Amino acid sequence: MIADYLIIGAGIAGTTAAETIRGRDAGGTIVLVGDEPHPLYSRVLMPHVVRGRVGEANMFLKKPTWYGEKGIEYLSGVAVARVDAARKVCGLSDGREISYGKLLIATGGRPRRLDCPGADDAGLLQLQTVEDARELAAINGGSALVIGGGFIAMEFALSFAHKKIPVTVAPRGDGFWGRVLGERARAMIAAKLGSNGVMLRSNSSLSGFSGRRGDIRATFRDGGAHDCTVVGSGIGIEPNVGFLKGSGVPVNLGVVTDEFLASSAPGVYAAGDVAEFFDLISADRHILGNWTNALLHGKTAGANMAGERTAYKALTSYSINCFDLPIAFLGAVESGFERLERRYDDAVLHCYLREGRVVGAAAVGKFHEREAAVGLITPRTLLDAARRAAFADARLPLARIIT
Amino acid sequence: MSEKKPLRISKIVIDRDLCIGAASCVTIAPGVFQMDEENKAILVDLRGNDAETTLLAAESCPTKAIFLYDEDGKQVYPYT
Ligand SMILES: Cc1cc2nc3c(=O)[nH]c(=O)nc-3n(C[C@H](O)[C@H](O)[C@H](O)COP(=O)(O)OP(=O)(O)OC[C@H]3O[C@@H](n4cnc5c(N)ncnc54)[C@H](O)[C@@H]3O)c2cc1C
Ligand code: SF4
Repeated sequence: MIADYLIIGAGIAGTTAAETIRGRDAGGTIVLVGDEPHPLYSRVLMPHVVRGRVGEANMFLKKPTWYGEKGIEYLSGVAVARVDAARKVCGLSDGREISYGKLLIATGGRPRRLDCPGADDAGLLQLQTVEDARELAAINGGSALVIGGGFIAMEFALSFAHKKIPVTVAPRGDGFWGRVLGERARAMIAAKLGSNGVMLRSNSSLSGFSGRRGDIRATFRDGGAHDCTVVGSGIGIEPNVGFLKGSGVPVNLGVVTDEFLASSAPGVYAAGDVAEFFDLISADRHILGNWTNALLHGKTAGANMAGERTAYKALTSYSINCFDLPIAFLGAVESGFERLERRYDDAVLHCYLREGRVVGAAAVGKFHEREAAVGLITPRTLLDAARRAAFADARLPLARIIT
Repeated sequence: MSEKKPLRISKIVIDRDLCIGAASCVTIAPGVFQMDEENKAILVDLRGNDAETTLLAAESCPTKAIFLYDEDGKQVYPYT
């Protein structure tokens, strides 16, 4: 089999790239290989399906017939097992080989697995695929423990609370997002969880599980234990790059690319949660895991594969409502960055600095100065002492710092 | 290939129940959409960006919360 364009991974990044390529090259052969046996669906909607806010059918973003109509050959339920970038061929899990002109790696990530005794037997829930969402939706009664302290752990907590299942969240750090949020922001989240009956067991270092779903005991290094009927695991995702071992495609944490989303291997691009790309906004190479980034990566990578040369530049965000408390992260937010705090009566805004320049922001409570934060991050504003003081003083509008 | 009519958008509806504040729309078409205090998207200017950009913004919404209509009142997006 030969494809002018071969795309691995049929999530939002890969599917958008296929659609973008077709918009620019009416005749080229496009093969899209995805190991999930479904048309494109929205992972973002899954928690809302679990909580019954939208029907499962609404989760699907493409009809099964869409691929054929666009002249995109969709090999679904098939994985790419290996890549040979020197010969420009890929081997599929069903034994077939595909030669390519241009290759896109858009394989996203998989939930990091808890590596402790008893984890396999305990039947831990994850939340990454339609199947995971269905499994979670079907759980009723009992009591739940959630391991983690980030977005997926929060989605688990909200879903169990919605089902009126008593739930305790056990993050490794102090509260949610312990490595990036300040104390006040974390306390606001903890209070909101507490007033909605979600318990927080901070600074939890898990040592293992015993029992099976329905009757599980989790034990911790501090000597404590927690009994529950079901455990949700939300300790982060890791990029799907295992199949690239020995391929000649450069991999660090993810697939390493420049700002055009091109890797150093000829004709090989990466997009979405798997791409460790050079971000022109933060002037830094990193992975971003959010929907808008994956979609816009797909657009840029697709266009460039079809012969354009456009650099990727977008400032994207990830947000969630913890009950009615909005939480949002914008741009690059990493634990190693310097953090500043702006306090409002009922909210906190952080900005994150790399080498003294604003590269990211986080808001808890409300994000009414979002536009001003965008205005600070986009040009990577250097914050001198006067501007730092102005940032910390919420009595003055943030927009005033920019001028 | 069939002649493509220039895209015209004369009405935009955001379903506040569906909007989860992912801000994809605002990232792509900041002239048309902004976030309000509840972290939900609101319409600020129907013509704040060109129609293609507005369509891309609507397509980018992970919850399909944005509905676009042309001057005849026909739904342009989500595709029916
Ligand atoms: C529960 C949940 C809630 C979320 N909520 C939000 C939110 O509110 N806002 C937000 O911005 N983001 C959210 N996200 C994150 C967002 O969904 C992701 O950033 C986005 O889906 C990434 O898209 P992608 O195409 O890069 O990767 P993916 O969606 O992971 O798609 C990659 C695909 O490639 C497949 N694949 C992997 N390896 C191979 C192989 N070797 N061969 C073939 N196929 C392969 C995978 O199975 C997968 O189907 C959420 C994610 C989850 C799980
Ligand atoms: S992209 Fe959709 S969910 Fe996100 S803010 Fe806009 S309307 Fe709301």
